[in-house]
Amino acid sequence: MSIASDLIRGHTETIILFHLLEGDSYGYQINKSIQFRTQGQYELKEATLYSAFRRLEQNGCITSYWGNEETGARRRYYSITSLGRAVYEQNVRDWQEAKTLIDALLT
Amino acid sequence: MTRFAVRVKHRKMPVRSNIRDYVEELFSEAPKSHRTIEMKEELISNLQEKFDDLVAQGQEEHMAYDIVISSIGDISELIRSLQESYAEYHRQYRDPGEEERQRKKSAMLISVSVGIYILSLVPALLGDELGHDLLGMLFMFVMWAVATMILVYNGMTKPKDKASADDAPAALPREIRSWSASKKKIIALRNSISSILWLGATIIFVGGGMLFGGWHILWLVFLLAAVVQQIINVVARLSYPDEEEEPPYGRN
Repeated sequence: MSIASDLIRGHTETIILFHLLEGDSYGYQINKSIQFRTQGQYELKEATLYSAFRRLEQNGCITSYWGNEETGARRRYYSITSLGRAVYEQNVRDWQEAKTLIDALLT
Repeated sequence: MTRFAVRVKHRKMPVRSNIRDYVEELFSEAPKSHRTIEMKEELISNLQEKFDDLVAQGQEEHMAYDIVISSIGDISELIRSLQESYAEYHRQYRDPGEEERQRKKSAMLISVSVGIYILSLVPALLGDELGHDLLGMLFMFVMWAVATMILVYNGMTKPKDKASADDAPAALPREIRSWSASKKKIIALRNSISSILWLGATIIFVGGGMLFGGWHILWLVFLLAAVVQQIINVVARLSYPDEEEEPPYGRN
């Protein structure tokens, strides 16, 4: 599991971009969806998540805004930019290529 | 160690609000910037929502708190990135153009006040010639007062600019702090030498004039003081790193 965790952590930014393709979202919701997709086997640390948000925002892949919640705390929402979409496409292509190579080398 | 202590200390208080205390404590090393506050608020609201979900699923509150806190992970990289953008912001904020304008304004104010000091001799000498000694002296003192006010104003507005720029280093890496500390020391030294210089010149002028009546020669003391002041400025400027020279910022 620790090799898997390290591998997944390397794709944190792509995971976030993929989630945002479906629509704007916020930190906890993204983490919930990661847990759901991995059947509770994997969850990002908050620190990892927010570091990735900052990097993506600085690179212009995502933008953020504060939502206006009627009840409870306000949430910070993120949305993907066209640059973010392009980066996502490229990262997925890179991963497919790497997966083929690693499969060829390991099995 | 301290994080654990915080957790124990708040055990008996309502647990949901402890999340805020914990995050505040966690970010105590981060620069007090707008970005940090936003980051904290974002983190707190997400953690509290997670806490609420866990409690709604039937988790005991203390357990839910522990799960939430342990899911934060290591935020040192996050704090480092906050510090970097804070340093970056301050570097852009302190643009050299602004400093140049401040310097020019200060130089102009000093020249004007020195000019007034010198010109103050005119009413004194005129009063002497025309037999209105008292009036001439009065004008001279008024002019001194104006010139001194300009100098004081200049002295008060300039350090404020330096101080606001030096507020930043508390959160910056040590190299930058020592860099501005040494510069600050030189500037403070230069300022005190300058005030002694001008005070001395005034004392020589007034004292000498009163005792020996050599006003017509003694005013040259101010010209001499102005020359010495410029020499001090040049020496001070050479002693600290120039504005163009980048302080060691590490990355970026």
